[in-house]
Amino acid sequence: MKHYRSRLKIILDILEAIHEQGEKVSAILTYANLPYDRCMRYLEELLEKGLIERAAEGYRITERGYRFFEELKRAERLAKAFGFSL
Amino acid sequence: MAFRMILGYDIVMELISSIAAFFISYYSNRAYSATRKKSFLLLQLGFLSAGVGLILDSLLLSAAILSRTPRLTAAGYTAYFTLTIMSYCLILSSYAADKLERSGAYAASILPLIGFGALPEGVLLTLSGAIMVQLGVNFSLKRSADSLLVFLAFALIFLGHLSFMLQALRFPGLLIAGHVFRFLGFISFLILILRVVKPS
Repeated sequence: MKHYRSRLKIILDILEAIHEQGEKVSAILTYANLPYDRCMRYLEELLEKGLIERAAEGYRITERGYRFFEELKRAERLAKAFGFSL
Repeated sequence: MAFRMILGYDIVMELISSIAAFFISYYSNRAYSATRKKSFLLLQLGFLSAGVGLILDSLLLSAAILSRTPRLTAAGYTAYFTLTIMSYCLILSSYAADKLERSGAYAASILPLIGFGALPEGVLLTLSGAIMVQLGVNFSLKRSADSLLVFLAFALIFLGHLSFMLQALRFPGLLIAGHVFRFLGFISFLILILRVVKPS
């Protein structure tokens, strides 16, 4: 069954990809399971919002980004406990 | 009612339960701030309403005992009943908001004083039962410890309302059981929140 991923879930997956897999765009693409152009659009949006910043080989999460990442992970866990989707 | 006034043991349990409800409400608010999802907002308001209902009931019961004014216990139960109904409706509508992406509308109403009894507890039993079934379905799909805790919490709250209803009908001994079930339900919420806020 094809599983729909919300915009928030994709952002969470991208932040998790950067956190887990490091800076490289190729690793982010694979981990977040996104096509290149779509992933770049999300990365641009996260850059504009100051949640990530450019690094030597790609991107890294900023301090603000890490705070948002933690809030989003908690929200996802609470949503799952109550049976909501993120 | 007189039994409640003599013992007053439920005051402490209601206070602790309201703290658990406020914790869930607070973390739902944080989740809403991060995601802007209406379901979190409704969950936040639902638990806030439950917490205020519990705290008002315990405060008015304390006031009734201290001032020896039995009528205050009915005022406390009215606040608890009204706010708990609101809470369950908000929690139920958070599921509708999640699935349909629209929020429900609530009509304001002025209620007369409602005494503790089988009928209001039956209403609360029905609403909490509906939430319990929803959470049971969620647990059967997710099979996670967190979803089990939420299901368990509402199952215990449901048993609390069932005990209160049966107590009002025929079995006075079930009053304490009802309070213990509801208290354990909110403790289950506290455990959930401690797991959610724990750094991963």
